[in-house]
Amino acid sequence: METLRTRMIGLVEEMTQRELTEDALSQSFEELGIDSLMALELAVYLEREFGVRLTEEDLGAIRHLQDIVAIAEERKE
Amino acid sequence: MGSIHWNFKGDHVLVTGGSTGIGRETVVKLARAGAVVHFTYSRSGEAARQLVEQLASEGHTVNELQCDFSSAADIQRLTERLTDRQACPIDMIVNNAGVTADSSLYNMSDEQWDYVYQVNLRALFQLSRSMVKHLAVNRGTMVNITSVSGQIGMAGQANYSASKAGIIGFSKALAKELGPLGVRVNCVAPGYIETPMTEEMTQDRRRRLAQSTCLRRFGTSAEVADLILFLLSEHSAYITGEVIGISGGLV
Repeated sequence: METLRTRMIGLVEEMTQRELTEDALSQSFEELGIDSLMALELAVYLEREFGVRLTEEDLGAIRHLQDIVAIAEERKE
Repeated sequence: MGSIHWNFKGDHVLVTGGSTGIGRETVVKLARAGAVVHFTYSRSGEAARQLVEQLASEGHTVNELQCDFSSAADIQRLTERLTDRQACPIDMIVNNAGVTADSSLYNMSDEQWDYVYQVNLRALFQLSRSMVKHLAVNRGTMVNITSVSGQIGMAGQANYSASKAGIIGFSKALAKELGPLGVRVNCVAPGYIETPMTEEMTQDRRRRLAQSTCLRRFGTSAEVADLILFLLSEHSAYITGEVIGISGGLV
């Protein structure tokens, strides 16, 4: 699962052009500068690469990066 | 003129308003090109069933889905069915369902305005919203049927022209949103085409309208369907956010 966490942080770094640490997981999308388009991109990446399906409702409810990672880890298992 | 050899084997396509006119021709061509086609119909239940039977007898896989796009409940039911279809994921959408309710502006009722806007534009937004992530995951394509009415305006069609212009803006915005995820969104803008919608016109009006085109004739649904298939296909891999006219030079 380390791969998934690392990849998510890496993706957010690419999207926001900011260098991030593991602490980013506890930060909100707003703090990280992730808008709804970027959130969609994260969800699409998760489904394409890890086969994890996030619903539109999930996307609307997610506020922190760790939420998306938690859902992904739970559904991947 | 021979027909173009399309190949859509392995693709799952949704065509809205697929039982008559341009939508029907698109369903037929896609099915014969190997796609699994799901199409919606509103009131033409008999035409829809005949189409399914005809294509099934040729060995093609086609499913009809009843949906009146003026009904919020119908749209919700449709999107739930479509997004549940994990076994047969939709990777291409042709948003073709459309209606007219023509009138001079001074005489146009709120109901005429709302009906056309709901079916032609709001339903497009609602259906697309529910399918957007799905389409993105599949690196899909979307073709939205607008009209020359949305580009140059037509007298007596303020509601229709506005809704069709809205489709163009919507599609261009969506092309920008989804392009980075590998999804293409384009519009087809037909002019005067031989369809049930234009069959209602008088012969005299049809003659005058045909004379207003460079090619002096109405187009056929098959000609429009070929353009739709081109925009869905890999042959148009570098085209997105565009409005392609097919009007015989309606200038």
